[in-house]
Amino acid sequence: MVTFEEFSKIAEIIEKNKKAPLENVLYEYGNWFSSDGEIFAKVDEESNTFEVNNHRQLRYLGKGLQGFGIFKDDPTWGPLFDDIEQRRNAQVME
Amino acid sequence: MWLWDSNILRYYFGEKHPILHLHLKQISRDEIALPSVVVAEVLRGRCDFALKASPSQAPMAHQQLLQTQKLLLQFNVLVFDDKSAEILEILRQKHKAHKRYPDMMIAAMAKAGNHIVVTRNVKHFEPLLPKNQIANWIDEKPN
Repeated sequence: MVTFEEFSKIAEIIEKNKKAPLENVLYEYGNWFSSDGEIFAKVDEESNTFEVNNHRQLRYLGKGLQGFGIFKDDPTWGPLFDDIEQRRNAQVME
Repeated sequence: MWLWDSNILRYYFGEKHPILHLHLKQISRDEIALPSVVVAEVLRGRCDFALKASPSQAPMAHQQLLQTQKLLLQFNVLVFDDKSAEILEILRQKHKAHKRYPDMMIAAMAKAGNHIVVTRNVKHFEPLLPKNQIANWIDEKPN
């Protein structure tokens, strides 16, 4: 099983160390794209693995801890959920 | 599948909650899904703010709306289907005193697919689901 954190570590390594010899990375799941949107990873859906053909300019989308804490400094984020709770409380079943 | 209630998204995107993080270390993202009910609630909130924002707030509000939409779609989204609707009707008959309709919709989806609802509002789901279909990843550390 691949956890959020493991995915994030792989993504971080590729992003921060683009010169690393990482021509063939086999891993489960994931969507890997170049900075211009080209898909660099070949996904084998049967085995749930993919091979990264070229790690340069890769960015990691969709898996791992993507977005974790991204709205930490957004003052509207918390109130949005207070509002959801209020709406649920107000949504009386007929 | 672990079905996230909206309050889990609050802590996921909002504050890197440490106990939530502990759970995420043990779970594959592919085992997690957002009920379409939750997606609707969060986007409604963002849409409301974008449409009511003052001129100075509007650019940020619209940017946040689109950013939120993209982030939500990176999750698996479980759509409320016909089977969920059938179970919702049964729940409505059985729990006429329960006032929180979205809770009931999420519970119906969990029952339809034998999923586990992850929420901080455990007390609201206890009348609707068996204990083994409710989890609190905010207040209870993983084993």
